[in-house]
Formats: sequence, C-alpha cells, structure tokens
Amino acid sequence: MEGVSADGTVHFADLVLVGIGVVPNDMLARESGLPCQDGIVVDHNAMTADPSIFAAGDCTRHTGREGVEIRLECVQNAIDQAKHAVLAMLGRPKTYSEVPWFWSDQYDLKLQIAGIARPTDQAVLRGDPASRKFAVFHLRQGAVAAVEAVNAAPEYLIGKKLIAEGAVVPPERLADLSVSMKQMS
Amino acid sequence: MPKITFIQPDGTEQAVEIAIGWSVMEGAVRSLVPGIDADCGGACACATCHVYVDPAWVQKLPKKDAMEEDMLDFAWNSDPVRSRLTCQIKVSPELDGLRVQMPEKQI
Repeated sequence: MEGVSADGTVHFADLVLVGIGVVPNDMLARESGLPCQDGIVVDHNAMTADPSIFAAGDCTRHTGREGVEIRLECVQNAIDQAKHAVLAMLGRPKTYSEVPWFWSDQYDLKLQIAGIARPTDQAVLRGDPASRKFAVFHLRQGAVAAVEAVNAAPEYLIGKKLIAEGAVVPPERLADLSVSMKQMS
Repeated sequence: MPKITFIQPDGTEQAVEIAIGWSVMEGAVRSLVPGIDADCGGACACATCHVYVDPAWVQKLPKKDAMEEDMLDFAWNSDPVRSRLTCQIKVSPELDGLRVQMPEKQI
C-alpha cells in the first residue's frame, strides 16, 4: 500500500489506520429545520427547538453543567442524556447536570477521567507517575473541577464525587498521600 | 450452558443461561436482567454491575483482583464478603447454579 501525505511525502505500509475523528450525524435534524451547530442543539432536558423532538448522545450540542456549550462524545453522556430525555417526555423533567466521565484501558494503564480540565485550571499531582499509579486534580477557583486518574480508582471515584459537589479542597491535601481519598470527601 | 440465578430485592428470581467465557454481567445484560447497569461495558470502571453473591458461592468464585477490590470499595452499599462486580466474573462450568442478589440500586 502506498500513501501520500499532505506535504507530498510517499509512505509505504501494509496497513493504514486512519483516525480522523467524528462529525455529528445531524442531517435528519437539519433537513427538518431544527437548529444545529456542530450537533443538534438541545436544552438541559435534551429537547430540541421542537418540544416534541428530543436528541441525546454524541450528536447533540448542549449546555453542560458549567454553563458552557459542548458536544460530548462519551458513553456517560449518551446514557444520562437519554435518561433525561425520557424524564422530560414523561412530564417529569430534571435538569441534566451530571459530571461527564470517561475511561480508557491502555495496556497496563487504566485511565479514568471525570470532568473536563481547562488549561487555566490549577493542576495538582497526587502520587508519582513513575509508579504508574497517580492522579492529577484540576482546581478552578479552589474547587475540584476535573480529575485524571491512572490506575487510581479511588482518586477517580472520590474525585468525581468532589466535582459533583463543587468541593473546595486545599491542593496540599489532595497531593498528600497520607490523607486517603475517603478522608478527602 | 451454566445457569445463573439473579434475585431481585423483591425476591423475584430469574435464572439465566450464560455461555462459558462470557462474564456474568454480559449474560445479565443480554437477558435484560433489571438492575445491572454496566455503564462502562465491562471495563471495571464504573461499579454499576455490582451484586451480592450467595454466601454458599462466595468461596467458589475466582478471587477478586486489586482493581475490582478498589472499585468495589465505592459500589453502593458494598459488602466486604459478598460483593462482586459481575463484569469480573467469567462464567465457567463450575459456576453452574450460581446465585446472586441484586442491590437496591447501583451508584
């Protein structure tokens, strides 16, 4: 197999794996006249501009729990957003505000993430990356906004709880391995 | 095929045949057993496939590894002896007759 890259360089390969990301499949919504913008626009009840039409999952653009518009490609959002759509359809609407979470198993590394970190957050390391077991907490105005855990399930699970509560935790405490995660919550 | 019984909090029993090599979770989800959420699809990343194993079966199951122990610590109303994550229990012929109890809810 011969491939040509954008700059004209020729590469030879037995197999080419192309990872080019995703575009939301919003064709049906667009053709129906529903507002779309990199995803089908829905409110916090997964309702589109038409009150009899709902959308949930990777294809939706919605306002997340932090008041920021987002399109989330993750299992958690698909499941939770669908639940809120159903609640709204049943006349028992409940604002969608769950903390997004993600995971990835990469060889011996179990990566678990809750919340969405921003470059402006204060990153706090807990544990030693060389041990292949550690977590990074992201604080926003002192409150835990996101956690990225590697082989550190307690950090991920308690971190997710702290994020949901908007808990303010001193960075020194998060970094202190002599304080267990259970004591943190 | 080994048969595994799931008991709901209200006492309702559901016996499900699960193929050898499948996890108990996969069998439960395939048979639409209520209460096994398995949000992460079996990656030991969510603790929502949690059950209480019948006391007579606790010792007969393959031991928990550290990852499952860690996650179980945070499952809803976890029991130190009986709690297991069904995504981590691989079905073998020896598990025929296994009985597990559903918790009232998953986290």
